[in-house]
Amino acid sequence: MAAEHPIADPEPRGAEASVRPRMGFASWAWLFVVVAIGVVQLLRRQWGDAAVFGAAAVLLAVDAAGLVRLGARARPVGTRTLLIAAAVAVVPLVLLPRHGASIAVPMVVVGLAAIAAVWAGGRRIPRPWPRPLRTLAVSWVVVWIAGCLWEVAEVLYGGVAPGGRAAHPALSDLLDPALDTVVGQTAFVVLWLAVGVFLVRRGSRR
Amino acid sequence: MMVSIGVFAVCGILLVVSALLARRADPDATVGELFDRILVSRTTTVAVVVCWWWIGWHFLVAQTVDP
Repeated sequence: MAAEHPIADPEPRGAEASVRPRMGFASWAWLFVVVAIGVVQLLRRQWGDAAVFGAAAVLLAVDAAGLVRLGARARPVGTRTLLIAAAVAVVPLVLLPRHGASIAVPMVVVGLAAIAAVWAGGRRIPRPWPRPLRTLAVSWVVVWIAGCLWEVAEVLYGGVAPGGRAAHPALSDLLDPALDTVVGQTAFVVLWLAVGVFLVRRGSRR
Repeated sequence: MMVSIGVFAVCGILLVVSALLARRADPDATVGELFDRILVSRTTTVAVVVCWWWIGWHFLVAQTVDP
């Protein structure tokens, strides 16, 4: 069963109404990830970003503890609705200039809509983890952690080392020039929204 | 600089290769199935979506490159 695997999470979605949610390993792990990213934002002195992750951590902890019962009766969002919403969101996110106050509005709307959509999904009954899927999960965890540690190391070391961030670029430094072009911003927005549709579609299923 | 590019490139390649190897071992062992199992609780789902959203915010709105 799923509970036998370390990344499985024994929280059945259907039992939300009658059973107080129980934090499984996966929930703790992802809560840790959210807090860790928030700490990195503090180190970057990006107070707004840190506040986002702090608020998310508090919201998730409060929900996991069963202190709030929001959206239990909400209906999952259909794939067609998701695709239409993403197609509409592409327009302002591609046309508006990066780092401007105006592009923050559609970004906030997309974020709140995505969280509302997956929040309605509640909890699902865990499914078994076949061995190849477990191997894939462990591989991805190892690679993502290695990549994130390298990113953090470059951000911190690049701030003090000779040559600075030019000699020790983080992924942001490498991608930023490409995103300053129309093609780059368009490609990023389309890819980013496609991943969002994928996550919300999978995450909002009951 | 080239080291950093190499590290991120290797990470990307490893993600793709491990996904292909898993699928070869079992046609049902896809990235979609992986996320179906990860996104089983509200905590994991919302956490993943927040991380995804922040990447967009980071590159499109916030200060992408630290001074």
